[in-house]
Amino acid sequence: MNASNCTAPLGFSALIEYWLDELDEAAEARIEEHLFGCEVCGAKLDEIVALAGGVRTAFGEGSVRAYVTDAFVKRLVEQNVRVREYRIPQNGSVNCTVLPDDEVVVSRLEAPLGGITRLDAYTYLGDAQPQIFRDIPFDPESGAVVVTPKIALLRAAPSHVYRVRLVAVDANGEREVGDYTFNHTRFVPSP
Amino acid sequence: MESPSIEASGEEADLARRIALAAAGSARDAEAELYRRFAPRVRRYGLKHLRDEQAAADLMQQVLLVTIEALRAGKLREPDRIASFVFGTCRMLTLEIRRGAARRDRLLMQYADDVPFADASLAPRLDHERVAQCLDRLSERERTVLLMTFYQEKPAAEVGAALKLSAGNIRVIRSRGLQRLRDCVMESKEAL
Repeated sequence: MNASNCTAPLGFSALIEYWLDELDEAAEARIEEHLFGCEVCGAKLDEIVALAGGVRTAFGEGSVRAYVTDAFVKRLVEQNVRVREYRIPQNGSVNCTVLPDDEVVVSRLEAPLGGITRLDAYTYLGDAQPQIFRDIPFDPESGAVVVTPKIALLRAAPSHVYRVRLVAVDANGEREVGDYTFNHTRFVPSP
Repeated sequence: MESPSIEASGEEADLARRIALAAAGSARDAEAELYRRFAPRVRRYGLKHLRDEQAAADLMQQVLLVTIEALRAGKLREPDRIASFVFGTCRMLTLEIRRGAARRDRLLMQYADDVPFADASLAPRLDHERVAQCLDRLSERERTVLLMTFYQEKPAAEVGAALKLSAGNIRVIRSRGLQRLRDCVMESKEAL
């Protein structure tokens, strides 16, 4: 099989599973042999590998905001990533900053999450309209929503107050489960 | 080791034939073209199994050195099986690399000056700023799953366990998210 006659193109999902070592030996061997003879599918795998690298680079540069888990943060620390972590109690506030050596900032928004199936986050900065993040991922057993903001943006931002409201959503409507205030101070190096 | 059967294209078989029939080292154009065609495939295999850019680049060089030397020496009797030979060599050398064998240095010292290393079109290069912008356009779940999957190279079962979702659910979110990320990144590349 070659580039001009790929009659059984591999699906995107199968290629992702191949790349992540999720297939059994026989399925992996089938894909491997196909890839070796098919440049079309090989190029598709190259794109997946490049995108995976792009995700790693973007996060490493502090350009990705994401809701993550305790296990993810723990692994960052094990990888010797310099993590600055803030724990904010339910309806509490925190004075926060970013230092030059920090590589990742993590905020743990503590809240009773048991029984909640969908959670939205409303964020407020100055007089601007709130930004709404629908259906954010969380571990209901962890007792906190864990978020990593874009550290590159925070580093460049002036001192400001930022607020987050967590709202549970179900068939009965919406219910606020926590309100958090971040008093951010921009780090200014001493002269 | 079981020998895989991979059909080479007619052009690849012709290149292999030209190298095999020429006096050793005199079909340099054909050798360079063969290198250019197989290099990306070997590199992919190396990245998958060695998980390291430099190791994959080294594997690429070693495999193609062995292949070209085998053709020059008339050791490959069926040029139509060139793709199978390259693939089998990939598997064998990857095992050797994992075992820490010193074959690479030996091969490079012996042949490196004598075999043409052609420019090969390898992996696509992405604008990382654009990737970050496109990540912003994904749903929260898609972004989280892609980050947890690719930053720490975690399989679906592990990401699912952390988020209290099934592995199947994670696979769906992951595949959809990566396709959307791809479409967004490629859209901007094509617009340039």
